[in-house]
Amino acid sequence: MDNERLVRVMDREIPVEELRVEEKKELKEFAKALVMFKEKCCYKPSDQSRERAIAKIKKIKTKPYKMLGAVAACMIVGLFSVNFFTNNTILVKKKGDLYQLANVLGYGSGLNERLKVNLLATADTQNQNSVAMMESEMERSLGFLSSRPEQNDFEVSGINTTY
Amino acid sequence: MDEKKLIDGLKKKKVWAYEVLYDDYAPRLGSVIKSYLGYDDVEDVVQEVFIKVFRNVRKFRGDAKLSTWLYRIAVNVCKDTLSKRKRNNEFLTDFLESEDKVSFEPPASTNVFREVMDEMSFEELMNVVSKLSEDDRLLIKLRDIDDLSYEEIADILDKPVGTVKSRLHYARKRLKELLEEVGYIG
Repeated sequence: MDNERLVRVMDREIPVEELRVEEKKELKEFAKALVMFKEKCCYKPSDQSRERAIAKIKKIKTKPYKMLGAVAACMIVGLFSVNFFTNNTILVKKKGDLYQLANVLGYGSGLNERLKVNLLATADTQNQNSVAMMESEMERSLGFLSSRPEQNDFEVSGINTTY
Repeated sequence: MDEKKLIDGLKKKKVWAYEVLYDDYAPRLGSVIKSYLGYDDVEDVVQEVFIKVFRNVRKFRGDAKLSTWLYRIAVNVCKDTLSKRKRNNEFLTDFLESEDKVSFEPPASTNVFREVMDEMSFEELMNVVSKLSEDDRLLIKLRDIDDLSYEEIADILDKPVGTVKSRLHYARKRLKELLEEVGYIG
Protein backbone atom coordinates (compact mmCIF):
# COMPACT_ATOMS: atom_id res chain seq x y z
CA MET A 1 0.00 0.00 0.00
CA ASP A 2 1.41 3.38 -0.88
CA ASN A 3 1.56 6.16 1.68
CA GLU A 4 -1.15 8.23 0.06
CA ARG A 5 -3.59 5.36 0.26
CA LEU A 6 -2.62 4.53 3.84
CA VAL A 7 -3.31 8.13 4.90
CA ARG A 8 -6.70 8.08 3.19
CA VAL A 9 -7.62 4.79 4.82
CA MET A 10 -6.51 6.08 8.22
CA ASP A 11 -8.67 9.16 7.70
CA ARG A 12 -11.57 6.86 6.77
CA GLU A 13 -11.80 8.36 3.31
CA ILE A 14 -11.46 4.88 1.84
CA PRO A 15 -13.52 2.15 3.54
CA VAL A 16 -11.53 -0.88 4.72
CA GLU A 17 -13.85 -3.13 2.73
CA GLU A 18 -12.49 -1.67 -0.50
CA LEU A 19 -8.92 -2.71 0.29
CA ARG A 20 -7.26 -5.73 -1.24
CA VAL A 21 -6.39 -8.67 1.01
CA GLU A 22 -2.67 -7.84 1.25
CA GLU A 23 -3.53 -4.21 1.90
CA LYS A 24 -5.87 -5.24 4.70
CA LYS A 25 -3.07 -7.32 6.22
CA GLU A 26 -0.68 -4.43 6.01
CA LEU A 27 -3.20 -2.07 7.57
CA LYS A 28 -3.86 -4.55 10.36
CA GLU A 29 -0.14 -4.65 11.17
CA PHE A 30 0.07 -0.90 11.13
CA ALA A 31 -2.93 -0.69 13.46
CA LYS A 32 -1.34 -3.22 15.80
CA ALA A 33 1.75 -1.05 16.02
CA LEU A 34 -0.48 1.86 16.95
CA VAL A 35 -2.14 -0.23 19.64
CA MET A 36 1.26 -1.00 21.11
CA PHE A 37 2.11 2.66 21.01
CA LYS A 38 -1.16 3.40 22.76
CA GLU A 39 -0.38 0.85 25.47
CA LYS A 40 3.03 2.37 25.97
CA CYS A 41 1.58 5.85 26.36
CA CYS A 42 -1.09 4.70 28.78
CA TYR A 43 -0.95 6.76 31.97
CA LYS A 44 -2.75 5.94 35.19
CA PRO A 45 -1.99 8.44 37.93
CA SER A 46 -1.65 7.02 41.42
CA ASP A 47 -3.65 8.31 44.39
CA GLN A 48 -0.42 9.73 45.74
CA SER A 49 0.13 11.77 42.57
CA ARG A 50 -3.41 13.04 42.76
CA GLU A 51 -3.04 14.07 46.40
CA ARG A 52 0.26 15.79 45.64
CA ALA A 53 -1.19 17.76 42.73
CA ILE A 54 -4.25 18.84 44.71
CA ALA A 55 -2.12 19.77 47.73
CA LYS A 56 0.08 21.90 45.48
CA ILE A 57 -2.97 23.69 44.09
CA LYS A 58 -4.31 24.30 47.61
CA LYS A 59 -0.92 25.69 48.62
CA ILE A 60 -0.89 28.11 45.69
CA LYS A 61 -4.48 29.07 46.46
CA THR A 62 -3.70 30.02 50.08
CA LYS A 63 -0.37 31.67 49.33
CA PRO A 64 -1.74 35.23 48.76
CA TYR A 65 -3.68 35.06 52.04
CA LYS A 66 -0.59 33.89 53.89
CA MET A 67 1.44 36.72 52.40
CA LEU A 68 -1.28 39.20 53.33
CA GLY A 69 -1.24 37.88 56.89
CA ALA A 70 2.53 38.22 57.09
CA VAL A 71 2.41 41.82 55.79
CA ALA A 72 -0.35 42.68 58.28
CA ALA A 73 1.68 41.17 61.13
CA CYS A 74 4.76 43.16 60.08
CA MET A 75 2.72 46.36 59.96
CA ILE A 76 1.28 45.76 63.43
CA VAL A 77 4.74 45.10 64.87
CA GLY A 78 6.08 48.23 63.11
CA LEU A 79 3.28 50.43 64.40
CA PHE A 80 3.69 49.03 67.90
CA SER A 81 7.45 49.70 67.80
CA VAL A 82 7.00 53.28 66.60
CA ASN A 83 4.36 53.88 69.25
CA PHE A 84 6.56 52.36 71.96
CA PHE A 85 9.64 54.41 71.12
CA THR A 86 7.61 57.59 70.71
CA ASN A 87 5.93 57.36 74.10
CA ASN A 88 8.85 55.99 76.12
CA THR A 89 12.16 57.84 76.65
CA ILE A 90 15.16 56.24 78.24
CA LEU A 91 17.02 58.61 80.61
CA VAL A 92 20.76 58.37 80.26
CA LYS A 93 22.79 59.98 83.02
CA LYS A 94 25.55 62.12 81.71
CA LYS A 95 28.80 61.18 83.39
CA GLY A 96 31.15 63.41 81.47
CA ASP A 97 31.01 66.34 83.89
CA LEU A 98 32.09 64.28 86.88
CA TYR A 99 35.12 62.85 85.13
CA GLN A 100 36.04 66.25 83.74
CA LEU A 101 36.10 67.68 87.23
CA ALA A 102 38.05 64.70 88.54
CA ASN A 103 40.72 65.37 85.94
CA VAL A 104 40.90 69.00 87.02
CA LEU A 105 41.46 67.91 90.60
CA GLY A 106 44.09 65.30 89.65
CA TYR A 107 41.98 62.21 90.28
CA GLY A 108 41.48 61.34 86.69
CA SER A 109 41.96 57.63 87.02
CA GLY A 110 39.29 55.60 88.78
CA LEU A 111 37.36 58.00 90.89
CA ASN A 112 35.06 55.28 92.15
CA GLU A 113 37.94 52.98 92.99
CA ARG A 114 39.54 55.71 94.96
CA LEU A 115 36.35 56.22 96.90
CA LYS A 116 36.13 52.53 97.72
CA VAL A 117 39.75 52.37 98.87
CA ASN A 118 39.31 55.36 101.05
CA LEU A 119 36.14 54.06 102.67
CA LEU A 120 37.92 50.85 103.64
CA ALA A 121 40.84 52.69 105.10
CA THR A 122 41.67 52.69 108.88
CA ALA A 123 41.23 55.58 111.28
CA ASP A 124 44.86 56.68 111.08
CA THR A 125 44.40 57.53 107.48
CA GLN A 126 42.05 60.38 108.19
CA ASN A 127 43.74 62.59 105.69
CA GLN A 128 42.91 60.20 102.96
CA ASN A 129 39.36 59.79 104.22
CA SER A 130 38.91 63.48 104.18
CA VAL A 131 39.90 63.46 100.54
CA ALA A 132 37.35 60.72 99.98
CA MET A 133 34.67 62.70 101.68
CA MET A 134 35.57 65.66 99.60
CA GLU A 135 35.26 63.61 96.43
CA SER A 136 31.93 62.20 97.60
CA GLU A 137 30.64 65.66 98.21
CA MET A 138 31.83 66.76 94.79
CA GLU A 139 30.07 63.86 93.16
CA ARG A 140 26.81 64.75 94.94
CA SER A 141 27.14 68.34 93.83
CA LEU A 142 27.97 67.35 90.28
CA GLY A 143 24.92 65.11 90.16
CA PHE A 144 22.91 68.19 90.78
CA LEU A 145 25.00 70.25 88.38
CA SER A 146 24.82 67.79 85.54
CA SER A 147 21.16 68.54 85.06
CA ARG A 148 21.95 72.22 84.68
CA PRO A 149 25.18 72.44 82.69
CA GLU A 150 25.09 76.22 82.38
CA GLN A 151 25.77 76.53 86.13
CA ASN A 152 28.63 74.05 86.25
CA ASP A 153 31.42 76.61 86.17
CA PHE A 154 29.95 78.58 89.02
CA GLU A 155 29.42 75.53 91.24
CA VAL A 156 32.83 74.05 90.52
CA SER A 157 34.55 77.27 91.41
CA GLY A 158 32.42 77.40 94.56
CA ILE A 159 33.59 73.97 95.61
CA ASN A 160 37.19 74.90 95.02
CA THR A 161 36.78 78.00 97.14
CA THR A 162 35.21 76.11 100.05
CA TYR A 163 37.92 73.53 100.31
CA MET B 1 -20.31 16.51 35.24
CA ASP B 2 -21.57 19.46 33.22
CA GLU B 3 -18.56 21.15 31.60
CA LYS B 4 -19.94 24.65 32.18
CA LYS B 5 -20.34 24.01 35.88
CA LEU B 6 -16.84 22.57 36.00
CA ILE B 7 -15.34 25.62 34.25
CA ASP B 8 -17.23 27.88 36.62
CA GLY B 9 -15.79 25.98 39.58
CA LEU B 10 -12.31 26.16 38.09
CA LYS B 11 -12.59 29.91 37.59
CA LYS B 12 -13.75 30.33 41.18
CA LYS B 13 -10.70 28.27 42.23
CA LYS B 14 -12.81 25.65 43.96
CA VAL B 15 -10.79 22.66 45.07
CA TRP B 16 -13.56 20.18 44.17
CA ALA B 17 -13.41 21.42 40.55
CA TYR B 18 -9.68 20.68 40.39
CA GLU B 19 -10.27 17.25 41.86
CA VAL B 20 -12.87 16.50 39.21
CA LEU B 21 -10.61 17.90 36.51
CA TYR B 22 -7.72 15.76 37.67
CA ASP B 23 -9.82 12.62 37.75
CA ASP B 24 -11.25 13.27 34.28
CA TYR B 25 -8.25 14.58 32.42
CA ALA B 26 -5.03 13.48 34.16
CA PRO B 27 -4.92 10.07 32.40
CA ARG B 28 -5.52 11.62 28.97
CA LEU B 29 -3.06 14.45 29.48
CA GLY B 30 -0.47 12.14 31.00
CA SER B 31 -0.76 9.89 28.00
CA VAL B 32 -0.21 12.79 25.59
CA ILE B 33 2.76 13.96 27.66
CA LYS B 34 4.25 10.47 27.66
CA SER B 35 3.92 10.18 23.91
CA TYR B 36 5.51 13.58 23.36
CA LEU B 37 8.37 13.37 25.84
CA GLY B 38 9.06 9.71 25.20
CA TYR B 39 9.68 8.69 28.80
CA ASP B 40 7.60 7.32 31.63
CA ASP B 41 8.25 9.64 34.53
CA VAL B 42 5.75 12.34 33.66
CA GLU B 43 4.16 12.91 37.04
CA ASP B 44 5.85 16.27 37.60
CA VAL B 45 4.89 17.46 34.13
CA VAL B 46 1.26 16.50 34.69
CA GLN B 47 1.32 18.41 37.97
CA GLU B 48 2.85 21.40 36.21
CA VAL B 49 0.00 21.32 33.69
CA PHE B 50 -2.60 21.47 36.46
CA ILE B 51 -0.78 24.33 38.16
CA LYS B 52 -0.78 26.21 34.85
CA VAL B 53 -4.48 25.55 34.50
CA PHE B 54 -5.05 26.91 38.01
CA ARG B 55 -3.08 30.07 37.25
CA ASN B 56 -4.52 30.74 33.81
CA VAL B 57 -8.07 29.46 33.96
CA ARG B 58 -9.48 33.00 34.00
CA LYS B 59 -8.00 33.47 30.51
CA PHE B 60 -10.07 30.59 29.18
CA ARG B 61 -12.85 32.25 27.21
CA GLY B 62 -14.65 29.10 26.20
CA ASP B 63 -14.04 29.55 22.44
CA ALA B 64 -12.56 26.07 22.24
CA LYS B 65 -13.46 22.92 24.12
CA LEU B 66 -11.98 22.59 27.59
CA SER B 67 -10.15 19.44 26.52
CA THR B 68 -8.56 21.27 23.57
CA TRP B 69 -7.38 24.05 25.88
CA LEU B 70 -5.97 21.51 28.33
CA TYR B 71 -4.15 19.63 25.56
CA ARG B 72 -2.67 22.91 24.37
CA ILE B 73 -1.34 23.68 27.84
CA ALA B 74 0.05 20.16 28.11
CA VAL B 75 1.87 20.47 24.78
CA ASN B 76 3.31 23.86 25.75
CA VAL B 77 4.50 22.52 29.11
CA CYS B 78 6.10 19.57 27.28
CA LYS B 79 7.93 21.92 24.92
CA ASP B 80 9.14 24.00 27.86
CA THR B 81 10.28 20.88 29.71
CA LEU B 82 12.16 19.58 26.69
CA SER B 83 13.92 22.86 26.00
CA LYS B 84 14.77 23.22 29.70
CA ARG B 85 16.26 19.74 29.78
CA LYS B 86 18.15 20.26 26.58
CA ARG B 87 19.54 23.50 27.97
CA ASN B 88 20.67 21.71 31.10
CA ASN B 89 22.09 18.87 28.99
CA GLU B 90 20.07 16.40 30.97
CA PHE B 91 20.05 12.83 29.89
CA LEU B 92 16.74 12.08 28.30
CA THR B 93 15.57 8.57 28.75
CA ASP B 94 13.84 7.31 25.70
CA PHE B 95 11.38 4.50 25.38
CA LEU B 96 14.10 1.90 25.47
CA GLU B 97 16.01 3.39 28.36
CA SER B 98 13.18 4.22 30.68
CA GLU B 99 13.94 4.03 34.38
CA ASP B 100 11.35 1.45 35.24
CA LYS B 101 12.78 -1.41 33.27
CA VAL B 102 11.44 -3.87 35.77
CA SER B 103 7.90 -3.06 34.76
CA PHE B 104 8.82 -2.73 31.13
CA GLU B 105 5.82 -4.56 29.87
CA PRO B 106 2.77 -2.33 30.30
CA PRO B 107 -0.47 -3.74 31.60
CA ALA B 108 -1.92 -5.58 28.62
CA SER B 109 -5.54 -4.62 28.48
CA THR B 110 -6.44 -5.86 25.03
CA ASN B 111 -6.20 -9.14 23.23
CA VAL B 112 -4.74 -7.38 20.22
CA PHE B 113 -1.88 -6.20 22.34
CA ARG B 114 -1.06 -9.71 23.57
CA GLU B 115 -1.28 -10.95 19.99
CA VAL B 116 1.13 -8.25 18.82
CA MET B 117 3.56 -9.10 21.58
CA ASP B 118 3.99 -12.52 20.03
CA GLU B 119 4.89 -11.16 16.62
CA MET B 120 7.11 -8.30 17.54
CA SER B 121 8.63 -7.50 20.85
CA PHE B 122 7.39 -4.45 22.63
CA GLU B 123 10.97 -3.30 22.96
CA GLU B 124 11.51 -3.43 19.20
CA LEU B 125 8.43 -1.40 18.50
CA MET B 126 9.33 1.21 21.08
CA ASN B 127 12.71 1.44 19.44
CA VAL B 128 10.94 2.21 16.19
CA VAL B 129 8.61 4.74 17.77
CA SER B 130 11.45 6.49 19.57
CA LYS B 131 12.99 7.22 16.16
CA LEU B 132 10.06 9.46 15.33
CA SER B 133 10.34 13.09 16.31
CA GLU B 134 8.34 14.42 19.29
CA ASP B 135 5.96 16.26 16.97
CA ASP B 136 5.40 13.17 14.83
CA ARG B 137 4.62 11.06 17.87
CA LEU B 138 2.24 13.72 19.15
CA LEU B 139 0.39 13.98 15.85
CA ILE B 140 -0.04 10.22 15.57
CA LYS B 141 -1.16 10.05 19.18
CA LEU B 142 -3.74 12.82 18.81
CA ARG B 143 -5.13 11.73 15.47
CA ASP B 144 -4.76 7.96 15.21
CA ILE B 145 -5.00 7.03 18.88
CA ASP B 146 -7.13 9.72 20.55
CA ASP B 147 -9.13 10.22 17.35
CA LEU B 148 -9.22 14.01 17.50
CA SER B 149 -10.32 15.97 14.46
CA TYR B 150 -7.85 17.91 12.33
CA GLU B 151 -9.46 21.15 13.53
CA GLU B 152 -8.94 20.23 17.17
CA ILE B 153 -5.33 19.25 16.54
CA ALA B 154 -4.78 22.52 14.67
CA ASP B 155 -6.22 24.35 17.67
CA ILE B 156 -4.01 22.48 20.10
CA LEU B 157 -0.84 23.03 18.10
CA ASP B 158 -1.85 26.53 17.02
CA LYS B 159 -1.15 25.65 13.38
CA PRO B 160 -3.32 25.77 10.26
CA VAL B 161 -5.30 22.64 9.42
CA GLY B 162 -3.36 22.22 6.16
CA THR B 163 -0.06 22.19 8.00
CA VAL B 164 -1.36 19.61 10.46
CA LYS B 165 -2.55 17.39 7.59
CA SER B 166 0.73 17.50 5.74
CA ARG B 167 2.75 16.92 8.92
CA LEU B 168 0.60 13.98 9.92
CA HIS B 169 0.97 12.57 6.42
CA TYR B 170 4.72 12.77 6.83
CA ALA B 171 4.59 11.26 10.35
CA ARG B 172 2.53 8.25 9.19
CA LYS B 173 4.80 7.76 6.21
CA ARG B 174 7.85 7.88 8.48
CA LEU B 175 6.32 5.35 10.90
CA LYS B 176 5.41 3.04 8.03
CA GLU B 177 8.96 3.24 6.65
CA LEU B 178 10.46 2.48 10.06
CA LEU B 179 8.16 -0.52 10.48
CA GLU B 180 9.15 -1.74 7.03
CA GLU B 181 12.81 -1.34 7.93
CA VAL B 182 12.48 -3.76 10.84
CA GLY B 183 10.43 -6.09 8.68
CA TYR B 184 7.22 -5.65 10.62
CA ILE B 185 5.33 -4.54 7.51
CA GLY B 186 6.05 -6.36 4.31
